[in-house]
Amino acid sequence: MNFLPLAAAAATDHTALWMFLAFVAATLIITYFSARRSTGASAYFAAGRRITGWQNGLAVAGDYMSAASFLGIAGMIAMNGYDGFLYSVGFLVAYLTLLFIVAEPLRNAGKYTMADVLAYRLSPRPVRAAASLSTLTVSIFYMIAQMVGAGVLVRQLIPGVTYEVAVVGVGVLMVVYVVFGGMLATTWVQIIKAVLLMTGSAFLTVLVLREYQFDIGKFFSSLSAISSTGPNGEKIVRDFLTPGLIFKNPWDQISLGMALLFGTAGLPHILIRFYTVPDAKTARASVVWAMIIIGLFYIMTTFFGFGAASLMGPDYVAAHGGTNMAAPELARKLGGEIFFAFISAVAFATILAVVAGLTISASTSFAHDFFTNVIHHGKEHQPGAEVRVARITAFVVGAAAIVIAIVLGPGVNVAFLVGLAFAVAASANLPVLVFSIFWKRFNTAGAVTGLSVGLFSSIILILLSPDIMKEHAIFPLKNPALVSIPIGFLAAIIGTLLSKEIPSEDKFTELQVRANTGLGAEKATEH
Amino acid sequence: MRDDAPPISRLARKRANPWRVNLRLDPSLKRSRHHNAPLPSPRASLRSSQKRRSAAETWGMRDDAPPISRLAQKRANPWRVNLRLDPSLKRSHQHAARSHHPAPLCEARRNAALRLKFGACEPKHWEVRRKHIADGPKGVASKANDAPPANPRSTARISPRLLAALAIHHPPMSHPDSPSSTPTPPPPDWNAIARDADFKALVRRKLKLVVPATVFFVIYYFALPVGVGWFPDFMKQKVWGDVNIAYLFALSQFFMAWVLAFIYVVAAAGWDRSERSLLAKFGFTSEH
Repeated sequence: MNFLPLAAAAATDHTALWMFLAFVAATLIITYFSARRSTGASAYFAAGRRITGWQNGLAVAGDYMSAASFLGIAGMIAMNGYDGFLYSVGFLVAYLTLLFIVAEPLRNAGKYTMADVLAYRLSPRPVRAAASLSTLTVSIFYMIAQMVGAGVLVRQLIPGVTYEVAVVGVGVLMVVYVVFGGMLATTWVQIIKAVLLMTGSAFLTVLVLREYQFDIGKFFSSLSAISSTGPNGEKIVRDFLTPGLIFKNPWDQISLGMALLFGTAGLPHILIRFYTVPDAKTARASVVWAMIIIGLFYIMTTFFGFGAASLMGPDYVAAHGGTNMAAPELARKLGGEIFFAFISAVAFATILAVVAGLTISASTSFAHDFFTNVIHHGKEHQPGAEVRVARITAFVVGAAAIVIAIVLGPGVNVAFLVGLAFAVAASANLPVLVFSIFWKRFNTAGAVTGLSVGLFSSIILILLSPDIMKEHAIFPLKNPALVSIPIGFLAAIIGTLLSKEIPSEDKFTELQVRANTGLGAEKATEH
Repeated sequence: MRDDAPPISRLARKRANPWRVNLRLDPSLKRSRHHNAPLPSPRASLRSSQKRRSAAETWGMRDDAPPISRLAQKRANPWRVNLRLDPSLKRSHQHAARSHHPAPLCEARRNAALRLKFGACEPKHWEVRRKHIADGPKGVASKANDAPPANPRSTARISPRLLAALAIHHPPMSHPDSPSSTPTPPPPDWNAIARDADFKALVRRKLKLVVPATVFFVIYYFALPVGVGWFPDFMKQKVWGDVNIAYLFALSQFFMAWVLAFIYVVAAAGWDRSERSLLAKFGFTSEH
């Protein structure tokens, strides 16, 4: 079936633009009211620790399901079938690591950042400095990837908007949310985004299944022979449920799986969300809510990803915006211009919510870990200085991300930036988090070594990978996690064993009791 | 300084007066700490008075008690001199009076007077705290007694029961580094808790689930890329219409994750109960 005439339909339609503006207006109103309540460090950094379990679950889902998930995975499934689905599986199962190992001890022992847990029983200044560096690296690289994606996407979705204007617009909005509204505004932007995303995805799934009279068997049967044009112009017919259409090297899959499974539990913008709830029990509930929402969403991606493949075909997707436009184009085909505009606005909201989460995690880490605890030895010399520094940092980080995204331009390969974020989180952050909670002998040298080696090994291996060096790649895998995660763990162990520092047993005991009982954990505050 | 600390001046904090700090003030008054901040709105005052009313009901304070005259309040309140507050608070008090809403200070005095005159039903967990105050060498009472009383007359007239009640009134410190004039509860004996058999059993129970569950989900998850990568022919076998093992196995990962999360949550509900009883054994509640 030829759907090409559909594409010309709404080149000048401004419905999408109006929906964007409606979303922006709604989020700015929320930011205005949040700004009035964001007084004090706890309110600004942790929303007063008064977010409920389901709210935080939605916010975690909103923080996590980026444009790469919504548009990227749907597009990969539409273009290459089953292999794209492997990403979805890793994104969900990773939450078990978060639930079992990290969420509750982190909430019980920390205050605003991941480094709070690390510094609890170790020498705080070097550990916080290293953790802050790692957090900033993950956040900024991930943010640049999102902003480049946003620029490309908005340019495609709204006729007349250039890449640069789109990047500046997204950057300014994320800075406004974070500088004025703090964590509370960011949380509500993420909640709204998650609700919109789930609504849009559910509606799109129903529209796809309606095309097959809600017969799942018929839907899957249509995937067994999808025809497309090969690299040399020949017609090829492929079974889209067959694995191996993207991943030729099994080690690539293992490496990617490791990055997803262990990286999520080290992503700073996800970790700081657990400080916004009153206690560990609510943190646990929020992970479960997030797992339900994220799981349902990724199952739905198979329907609209495969739906795009069978109803439009890979050639049509390639000719109309490429991989990232598969879901919006499917929405246009099945739901008309209004639904296309809605899905486009959802994609825009998706990007904004994620970059806002990344900005607040970067600014919190700099202000709390580096400014207050490294430079000022844990003392706030002037009341409110920490929040003021966080706001300035958010502004600087936002400005830097805008400039870098514009300089790199729309052609930059963002996949390696996202891969880097997950790989650094898995190789640098997770080993030291796990050791500081569970290993009594673990000390400052081990933490600093683990963080530094994990961080730099990930960066170096990505620079040597095929994503950057193409056919001259020295390191054969696209994702470095298979090598960099063991290196991160080993560095932390060797650093600990080579150091003569004997960590305080009492502090370890205290951390154990706190982590397991919640005694002495930070409490919710009144706004 | 803690965000939820009552708005008491630095000077007042320096005075070692255990009574002053036990006034748990209206949260809406916090803004009056900042000189330029607006005074609390009548709505905020009303909300907080409603909150206090429900708290009073919870603590068994009699709402149907007869109104007390100012003189009676003065007589019934032996420590009124210690209820002096930061000057900035007076503005809030006056504002609340002007706006026909009960001022928190008035209500605090009235509540204290009522408690003194008519008595109050004592919640069970007060007993635990009072025991700490009475027994612990590092406890609130000992710290309070070490400090020179600001007004010997009033101090002498306060019953131990009120002392305990007021100590309970104040929320516990949540962070060890937070400076405050509040007489803090005795710090937990972390080593004693860690040595306790119940704590050890709790940790064992957690590990008994978390370790095997983690090993299981890691193996189950990596079985997918391993199967797809090294055993593609097996994974391509169709089992339901055109749906093959690879797709069903990938889909099963979602259900595996949800089932494990459900098992964890059910088990964690039991751990929560154990945690509460463990903390109660050491005189703490989950609010600590």
